[in-house]
Amino acid sequence: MIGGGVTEYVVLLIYLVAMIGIGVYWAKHTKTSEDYLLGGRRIGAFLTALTLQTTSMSGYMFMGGPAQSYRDGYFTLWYAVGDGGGAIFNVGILGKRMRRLTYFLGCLSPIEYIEKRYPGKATRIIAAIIAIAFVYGYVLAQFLSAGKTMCALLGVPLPVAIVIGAGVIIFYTFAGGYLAVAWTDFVQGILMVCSMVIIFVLAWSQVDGLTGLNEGLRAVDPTLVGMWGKGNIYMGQWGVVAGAIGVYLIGYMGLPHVVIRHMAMEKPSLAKRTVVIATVWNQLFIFVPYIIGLMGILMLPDIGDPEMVVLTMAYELLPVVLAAIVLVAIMSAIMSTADAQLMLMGTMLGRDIYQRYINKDATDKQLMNVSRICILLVGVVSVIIALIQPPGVFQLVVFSFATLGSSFLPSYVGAVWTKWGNTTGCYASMIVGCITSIVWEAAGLAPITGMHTFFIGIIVSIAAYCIGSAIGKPPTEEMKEMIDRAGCKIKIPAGLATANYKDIAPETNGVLTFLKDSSYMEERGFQPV
Amino acid sequence: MIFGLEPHVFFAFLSWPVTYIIIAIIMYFVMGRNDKKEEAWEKAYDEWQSSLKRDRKKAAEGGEDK
Repeated sequence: MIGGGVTEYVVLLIYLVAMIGIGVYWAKHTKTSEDYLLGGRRIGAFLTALTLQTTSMSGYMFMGGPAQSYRDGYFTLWYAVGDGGGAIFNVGILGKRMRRLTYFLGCLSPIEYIEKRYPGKATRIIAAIIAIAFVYGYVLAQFLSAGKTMCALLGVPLPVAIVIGAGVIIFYTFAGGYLAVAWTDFVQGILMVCSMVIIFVLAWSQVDGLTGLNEGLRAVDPTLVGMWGKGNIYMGQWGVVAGAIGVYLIGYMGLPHVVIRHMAMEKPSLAKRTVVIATVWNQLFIFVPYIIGLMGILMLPDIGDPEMVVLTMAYELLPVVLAAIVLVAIMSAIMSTADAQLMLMGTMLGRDIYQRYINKDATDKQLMNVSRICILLVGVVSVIIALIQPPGVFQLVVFSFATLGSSFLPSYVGAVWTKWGNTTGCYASMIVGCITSIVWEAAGLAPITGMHTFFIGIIVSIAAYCIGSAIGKPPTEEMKEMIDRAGCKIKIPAGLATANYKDIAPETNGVLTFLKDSSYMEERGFQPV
Repeated sequence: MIFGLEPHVFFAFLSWPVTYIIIAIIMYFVMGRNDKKEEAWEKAYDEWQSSLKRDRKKAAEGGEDK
């Protein structure tokens, strides 16, 4: 136990009350199901960037990441190299087009989006089964992590810690829906990055900057500052390196609880600002923890548990109040991932199961209430299971990421970037990607072959998508038009384009009125595409 | 040596934060340039669609008159 004093409890209490307050505030501003499930599609660039990145990052960056670099040296930064560019790929490739297409298709959930883009009787059920099973595994593990962290750091008994930690997450997600999740993520994201940067800056002076750090590490063990890990144990393993970079560079595009953030953006043009904000946040929050782990080798050579590097440094370098805020930041990292997954569970069960299969004529209010009840039920059941602590939950999480990514990434990307991607391809990629991941993990092939589960899963899934799409029925002309519309590719009769410039060229108004006359247009062969 | 690291190690690991930020800034301008085009396109598309709707309505009303 590192914390456990009155200060830590007070800071934690203030934090938890603030999160509940955000939930209550947004509950009052949530009127429709679109408000509840997607924040009324009015989320700005800053909020989108932070909710996107905090959802992607869990408590691992405070504990597991620094511990790994403490053990293996610079080699661990390969993971950061992939992770750091994740937002560029995710927002750059999917952001704008997914926002547009989901709006045109009227989708409120990432599963509904798959179904409408790839229409078929089994689309939604296959997608929902995979998403619900693996996102649920995530929720469960995050609750357990929140409880265990609180227990380890504050000395609170585990059952009490799980109930408190999970209870707060369930409450604000239940009450305020997507807006509460996004705003708590925002606060949590600021806390997370500020904590990391403050520790980094203070530790920087202790190790005499980057040169001092590297020279110190070289004196301890020259292989720590090499490319292949302590003792060069990973020497020449380019496959592992490629997997580590690739997994995190593109993997987030396949996670339903992450890509739903694109759907909630206020307008597609916000994507450009989101890319910059998310990328800057990434560099601060992803590279810094690993480097703090390296600093720990010099500053805390005798630490028993490397996972406590960040916290131990916080207590050595900061006043107790600020160190307590770092404790809270760890909770934030866990909660910001758990709330997004819980919210997605509510969205999928409400929109994709209840409204699709049980009550097709559900009103807006009914849908919102059912989603709320589902969040509550999923939350309570998860707490109960977490209290029992079934073995293997953490192992489930390890490949939940790989399975979700392998199952959905080709369909999400192909949906907006190809007109040939069709329902058969979607089925093939979801089923084959999911099965490959499960088999690869269950058979323990990752350590034997040196190929990450996600890496092999995604290759097979992309191949299945392409082959399935080649043999399946092509999308309808309406869908192709919709995809073109999402990419702003439809050719508009030239004269009408002047409509945009009438403000700067008022004299075109008369011409425009004339051009709008349909008989004129039809005579000249301008037809709807 | 660059900051106490061999050049290839420095570039393999620590050049990325700056590189990514530069790429993100470049993307900001590239996407921004497309934004203007796309916003113009969206307006033109809406105009076009509503003019087609109006025409169809006009044609239907004309048909009823006859």
